[in-house]
Amino acid sequence: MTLSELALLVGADSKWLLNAAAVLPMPRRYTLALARRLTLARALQSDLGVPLPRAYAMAGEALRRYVGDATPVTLAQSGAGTVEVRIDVHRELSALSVRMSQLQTMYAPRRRGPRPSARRDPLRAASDYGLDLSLLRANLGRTPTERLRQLDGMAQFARRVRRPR
Amino acid sequence: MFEEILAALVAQGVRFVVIGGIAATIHGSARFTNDIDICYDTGPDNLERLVRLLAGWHAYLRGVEPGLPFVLDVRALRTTPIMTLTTDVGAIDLLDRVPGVGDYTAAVAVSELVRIGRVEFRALRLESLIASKRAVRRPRDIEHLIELEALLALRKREKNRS
Repeated sequence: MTLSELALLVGADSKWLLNAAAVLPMPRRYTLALARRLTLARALQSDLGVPLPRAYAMAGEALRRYVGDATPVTLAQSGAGTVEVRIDVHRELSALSVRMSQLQTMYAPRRRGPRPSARRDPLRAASDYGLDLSLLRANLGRTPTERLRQLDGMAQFARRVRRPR
Repeated sequence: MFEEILAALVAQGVRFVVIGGIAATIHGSARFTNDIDICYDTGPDNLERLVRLLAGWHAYLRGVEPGLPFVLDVRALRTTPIMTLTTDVGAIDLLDRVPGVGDYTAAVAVSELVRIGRVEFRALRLESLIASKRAVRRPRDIEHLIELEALLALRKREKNRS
């Protein structure tokens, strides 16, 4: 896992992670277990203002006590029982699962370097790239309904082919 | 599949704008896409409708193993900018804002009304799709951008002729 992938999973930017690495006893390898712990630590830090080293320790404790259901984990309680710190580990890990899905399906590093010139003739650029312009012309001759139904047919075929027997 | 999803969204009264590959197809793109991307209004009533619909379709996260912690409710949708889901009726990506365009209100402003069969909904205009692809700048978006810009040029050329 790269730094930017870990940042996406944790829901932080890379700079936050680098700063966290400077003050926390973080392992050198970026793993899913680390992403889980940092996700909780970040929530405790940003939502409650808990200093990061303390939040990281509390996150470790919360994960140890999380049993896989939606019951929040109580991390601290005052002597009289009037004040307590609870974390909804399940919901935080759900948000992490969403970002994992995003990483698998949508994420790709942004392309670096200058933007392609807007002055270039788009039709020439498409031809040079290898696009079949006659296909686009044919599509423009169809109605939006015909275009979508054609794609629908292809997508259904793809689903049937991919479906396990 | 796509028509079924769109029809159900409209029937449930979900406020959304079609973006991404399906919007591109509607404008004439020849690229294959297997999922439908929508930008939705984050109003509580709209989120409730969306959650109800997705629950009925047994929505789960796409590309990850089954059984991971996953809560799909109004609160989760409100705090999650992008959700990539697989459902009984196909893959659907939910975004609360369109890169290079803005939130649902901004997306509506640069969208147009489309009618597919009996279903009427809003889809991002071709020019705005181009702006969103320019903003994201992933390699596959840049490939798609070349096609969308060619489509726009072809459309302008045909308009000038007529």
